[in-house]
Amino acid sequence: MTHERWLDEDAGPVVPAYLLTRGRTESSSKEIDLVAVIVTEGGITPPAGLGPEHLIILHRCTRPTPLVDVAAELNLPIGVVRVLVGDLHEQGLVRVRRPSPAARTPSEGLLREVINGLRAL
Amino acid sequence: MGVPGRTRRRTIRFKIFGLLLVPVVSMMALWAVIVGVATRDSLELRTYTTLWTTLRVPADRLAVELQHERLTAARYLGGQGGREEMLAQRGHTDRALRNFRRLARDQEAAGTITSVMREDLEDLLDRTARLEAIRGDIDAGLTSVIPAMEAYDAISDAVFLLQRSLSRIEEIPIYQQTRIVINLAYAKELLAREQALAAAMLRPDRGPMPEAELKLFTQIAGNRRFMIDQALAELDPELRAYHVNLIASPEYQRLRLLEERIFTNRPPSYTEWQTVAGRLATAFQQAQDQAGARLAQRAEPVADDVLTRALMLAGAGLGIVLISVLVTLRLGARLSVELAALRRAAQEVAQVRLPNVVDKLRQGEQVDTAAEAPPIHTASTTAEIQDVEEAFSAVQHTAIDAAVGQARLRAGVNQVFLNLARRSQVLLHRQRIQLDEMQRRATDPSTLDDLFRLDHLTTRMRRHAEGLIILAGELPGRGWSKPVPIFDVCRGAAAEVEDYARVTVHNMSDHALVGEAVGDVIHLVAELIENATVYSPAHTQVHVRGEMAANGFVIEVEDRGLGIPREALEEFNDRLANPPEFDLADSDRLGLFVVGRLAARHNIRVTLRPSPYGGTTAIVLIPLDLISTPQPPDTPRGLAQLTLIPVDNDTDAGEEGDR
Repeated sequence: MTHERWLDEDAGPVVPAYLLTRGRTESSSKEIDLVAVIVTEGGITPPAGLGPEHLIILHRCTRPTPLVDVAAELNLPIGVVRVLVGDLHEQGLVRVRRPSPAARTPSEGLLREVINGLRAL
Repeated sequence: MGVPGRTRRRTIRFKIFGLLLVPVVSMMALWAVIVGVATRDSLELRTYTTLWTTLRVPADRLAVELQHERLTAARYLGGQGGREEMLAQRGHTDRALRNFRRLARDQEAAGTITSVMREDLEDLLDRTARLEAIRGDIDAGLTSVIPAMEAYDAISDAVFLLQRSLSRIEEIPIYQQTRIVINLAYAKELLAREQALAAAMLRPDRGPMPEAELKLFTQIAGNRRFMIDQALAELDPELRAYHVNLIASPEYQRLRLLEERIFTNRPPSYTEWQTVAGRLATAFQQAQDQAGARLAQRAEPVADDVLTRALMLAGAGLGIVLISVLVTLRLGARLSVELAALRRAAQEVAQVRLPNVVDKLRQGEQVDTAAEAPPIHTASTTAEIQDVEEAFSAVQHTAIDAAVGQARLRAGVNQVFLNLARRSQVLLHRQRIQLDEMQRRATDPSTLDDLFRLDHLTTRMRRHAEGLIILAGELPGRGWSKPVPIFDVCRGAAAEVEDYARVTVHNMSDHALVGEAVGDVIHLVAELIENATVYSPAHTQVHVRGEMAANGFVIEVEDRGLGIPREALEEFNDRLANPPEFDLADSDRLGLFVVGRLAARHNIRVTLRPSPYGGTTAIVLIPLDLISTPQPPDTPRGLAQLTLIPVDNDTDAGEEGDR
């Protein structure tokens, strides 16, 4: 009888994504979005109990790295990486930066002020 | 194989010998009886000879002396004088009597005397006791001729009665002739009585003969003639020859003439009569003695003959008994040997062949009924044993056929399950790939949450499909060619469990598991974690730890449940160490069975033991040959490695503010 065999990559990941976050999908921090840039805090000693994925993120982000790149590096869905980075951020191990807001989209405050001004007319 | 109530177990050999014992003993008894009878006949003949010479002859001698005494007494009473002669004769009689008494006692002591003989002997001895009384009467002149004679006659009759009883013997020709010879002796006794009467009748004074005596004389003479005639007719030629000369002699003719003269009252002189009668009596006695001796001689060879016959009979009988005993023992022994061979063959079928076949079938080997169940053959010539052999062969054949059929059926069912499991595995695998892609595209946490739930369900379904494949004895479809970190293996296992959120997989060293064992170890650890979560309260955690030990890599799955009772724990450990044959009826312990089978496949040791926290710890020892030495990872895992990297994030920090 013939049956399919799936080797290595074909077999799928040994550890499914949902296990890495224990099923959590919400990040602890709202600001960690697709364009967020992650930087490892300087001079920290990672506490025991961090998983290998966490350590990879800490290692990768010694240089500021966008979330998408981290996800690509880990070969994990963005949603999962967001939760993982959120864990690190909560413990104060990483900083989350935004790409320069002035150069790109106007800030929420500015838009709000414009809306308020228009309403006042 | 003790069956209660059936305590007496006897071998067939014992029973066969028991069966043969009865006829053999009967034959021996029969043989003994036959030999005994034959020997007794011979002994009887010898006894006859003995009694003839030791008792009959002295009895005859006694009779002769009595005859003489009677004659002298008659002479004395008849007035012929001769008192001295009479007294002298009494001495002779007494001697003969004493001699006879002594010999009779001897024979009694020797036990040759039968009860009939003893009766007659006692009778005779009783009568001789009266001899003194008779003599006294005669001496005192208190008696006359006839009463005195009758007194003597009574004793003589007893002597002849005893002679007749002594002649009892089962050899009929000898017995007949003996009786006739005794009859002739009695005829001589009658002649003696005639002599005695004549002594009283033929007085010297030639007076008239007394009436009573003459009448008696006539009667006795007639009887004597009749007896002699009759006896001579019946005697055989040899014995007759002794007497014929006597009867045919002129003396006898003269006696008859003298008798005639007495009958007709023309009596001869006493001297004339006495001369003839006396001479005849002596000749008669001689013929008697010769005939008697001849008879005793005759019994001798007959006795020898009978003894020889008895001995031959005994020998032949013993030979036949021995031959039949030997033949029966041989037959019995052969039968029991054949039965023993049959028993061995049957036991071999029951205890060796059938279990072997069943084992082979269990291990999935092909079984050829003809080769595994050769017909039973014990070289027996007994029809029943051959029938039993054939029946056993048929039973064996049928049993193996049935077992093969069962195995085939089981394999077929197995195959069906395997097919179904594989199909669902293929579908589930595709579904997981699909889900993985969807997870990568999902940006919305709630969508991702749904996808996670679906992924988890799919993973669990895949695990069950794989469980089925493992039960069917096949390898699950997933495989790895490169070593996988044991930490990932444990996390992968945790992910397959329903309550995975309660499972904490602690960091472990970087050791990796060789690729070919990965799928099975994931499944094995997943079963243990599943057990741990199911048998512990929902609010407790299940901890999975791992570290290198001397004999291999140890994974511990520890729960905080109530624990397992000691006996159950021992039983589980036993089942894990020696995985039993898969029992369809025992599906409650399916997980344990799968663990046992996977562990056995990779030489992994799994033990359960009580945990210090009250729950149970499952310890999985993975042998060293399944562990690959940790490679220096291209991706940093250790803490030291991370801290060694120079931290230059401050240079970037100024660029964007961190709110």
